[in-house]
Amino acid sequence: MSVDLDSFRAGYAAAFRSFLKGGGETGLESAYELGREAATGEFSLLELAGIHHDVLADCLAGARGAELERVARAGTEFFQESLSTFEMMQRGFGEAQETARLEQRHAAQLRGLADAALALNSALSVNEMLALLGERACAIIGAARSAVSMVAEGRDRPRTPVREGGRLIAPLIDRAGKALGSIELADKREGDFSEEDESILVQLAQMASVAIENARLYQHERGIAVELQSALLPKALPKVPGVAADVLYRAGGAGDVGGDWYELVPLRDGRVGMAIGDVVGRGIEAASMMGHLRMALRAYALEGGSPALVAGRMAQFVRSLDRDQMSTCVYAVLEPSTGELRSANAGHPPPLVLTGDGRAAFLKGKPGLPLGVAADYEYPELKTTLAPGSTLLLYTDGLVEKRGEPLDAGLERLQEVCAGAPDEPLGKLCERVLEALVQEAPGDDVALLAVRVLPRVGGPLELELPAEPGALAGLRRQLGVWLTQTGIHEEDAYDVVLATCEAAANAIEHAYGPAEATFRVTARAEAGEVTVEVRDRGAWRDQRDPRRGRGLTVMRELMDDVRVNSNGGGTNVLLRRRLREGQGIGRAGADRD
Amino acid sequence: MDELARIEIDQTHRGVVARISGEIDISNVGAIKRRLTDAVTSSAPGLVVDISGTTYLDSSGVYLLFELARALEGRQQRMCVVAPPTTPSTRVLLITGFDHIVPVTNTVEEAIEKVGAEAPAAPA
Repeated sequence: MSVDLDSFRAGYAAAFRSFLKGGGETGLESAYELGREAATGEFSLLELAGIHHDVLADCLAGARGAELERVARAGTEFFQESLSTFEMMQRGFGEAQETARLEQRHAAQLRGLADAALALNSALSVNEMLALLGERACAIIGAARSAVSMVAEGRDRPRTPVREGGRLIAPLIDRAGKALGSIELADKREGDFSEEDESILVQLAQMASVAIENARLYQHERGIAVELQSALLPKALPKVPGVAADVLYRAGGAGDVGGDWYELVPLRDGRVGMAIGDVVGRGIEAASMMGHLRMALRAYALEGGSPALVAGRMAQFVRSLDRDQMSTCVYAVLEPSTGELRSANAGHPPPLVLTGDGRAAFLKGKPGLPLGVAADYEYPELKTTLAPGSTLLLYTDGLVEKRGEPLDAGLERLQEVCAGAPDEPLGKLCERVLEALVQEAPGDDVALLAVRVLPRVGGPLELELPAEPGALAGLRRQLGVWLTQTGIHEEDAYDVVLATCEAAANAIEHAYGPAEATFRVTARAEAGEVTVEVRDRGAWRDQRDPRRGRGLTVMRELMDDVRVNSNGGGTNVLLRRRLREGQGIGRAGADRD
Repeated sequence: MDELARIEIDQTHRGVVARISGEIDISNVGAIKRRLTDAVTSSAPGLVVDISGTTYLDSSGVYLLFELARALEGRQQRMCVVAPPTTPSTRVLLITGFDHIVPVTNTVEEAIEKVGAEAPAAPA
């Protein structure tokens, strides 16, 4: 029985394609058959491998992302199977022959080649591919050195392999026949580079060329989508009196960008509108759709409509676009002074509320229809009250969805992770939640928007600190955090911190001799002003110390009122600073306008 | 030194440039003074202290800068502080009138100009 090369190639291609479609065991059987056919047809290993790589390159062209890796993996498996039959047959035919020995060595090389194909197509970047290519080529062929060089577009390079003077060069050529670059090996460990080495390197270079071209195309497309997406998302969250907010956005590692979006809109009457949404689908289409939706939401929100009304308008808006893209979102409006929250949900996972006592519970109520499903639909509206210190967490499904697992399991995990940490700074909370729920390279995009209702009037801050210079840094941090919570302007906060630390430095430097001394700091925010009291139990001694005088000058310049009282029991410094109009202390922003 | 502040020192032929990033208070002011004093050799035209990356500076830090300038003056060397208006620490320099005693500039380039240009003429 004899088969010619062309019909064998056609048979191989058909069998591999059917294996790719999910041939499973039968698919592998045909690989086994093909290996046997190749051996009886007295094809060389080189010919078998050449056919395999031609077929594989065809199948890889045009594949993207996860598909790419799947094809490469299947290729390896299929080739290994036909190779092992081929090898077994070869051994049976003439183990003693020198050619067989050589071919067996060659078979090992081809295995390396198959492995390399998989590795190349799993690489995440072109640079990683180039490094892999050099490394694998050295290992397979047994060379000491490799160099991979890429050419600038249009520059010409040798298109045929070169084997001379201890060097072996194979070109990297794209599908259109343009030179991408070349790989060069030098210093073979045993003997000179052979014809087999050359053919192996050429095959490796072919595979690498396909992989590089695919990756470049993909990176280019992804680059556009990522840029578009980041241009379409808010640069920074606006500051809203009475609430703290933070957001975390993580693009999916493997695939295209998704259409996750979020928005925080300060409304005219001191309320704040917040939204999160997800466009089903990926890539440039989804990113641009996300931009439309964000802008539409912003416009409807600024008109001041209720969440149900805004959701209804959004649904109409999506229908009017006539794009076949479904999308979900949640829109909520919060009144920071009372904590009243109204929300409407268009097919989105439920927002989570973290209360000050450490509990975490989802907003109850069935979600309405996703956007784009029905034109005329009345969204249900949910009303609840968030106590001061409570946090509303909005997120997209990438956070809670895991393949092969019901959504409820993800929601439960989210609830568990969020419970028990009511005071955690929002940025940290988002990071921690993401880390706990999503593996290193999330498949889908994830967006998290956390909004906390701040206590309306900051409770006093009371600290007792050791009277040593090292305590000042901690005092600055704690006072800074407390001041931020009161909603005070950043520059004013800096002044208060500086004046307080000047007083504290005096307490530390001038008030004490012996160790184990402490001083106290009490800060209050009320009635449009911040007062800070720094108390120690010693007396400021050397009035002529120039540093002390300077500290007092600074305090007086920064504060509206500075009082120093010294008696036998200790020294008290009272600092007072009135706040600018419209700052967050007292009624948080709601009384403005 | 310590974790609060970091100092990078650049020895150029036109003067020594010391960049201080982080925070300066009574806990590290002594160590910073020693670092800066050691950095200025007697042959250097002068010292530029760049505090544009200093996020916190209290009156002890201002006093340190003042003492340094005075010590250098005694050695016929000039000092200039780089503190652009956007730096939080600039406020305390202005409050204490430091800028009337020691030149304060917005950029390192200007400061180097000043240290070099105003360098005293070679002794007769």
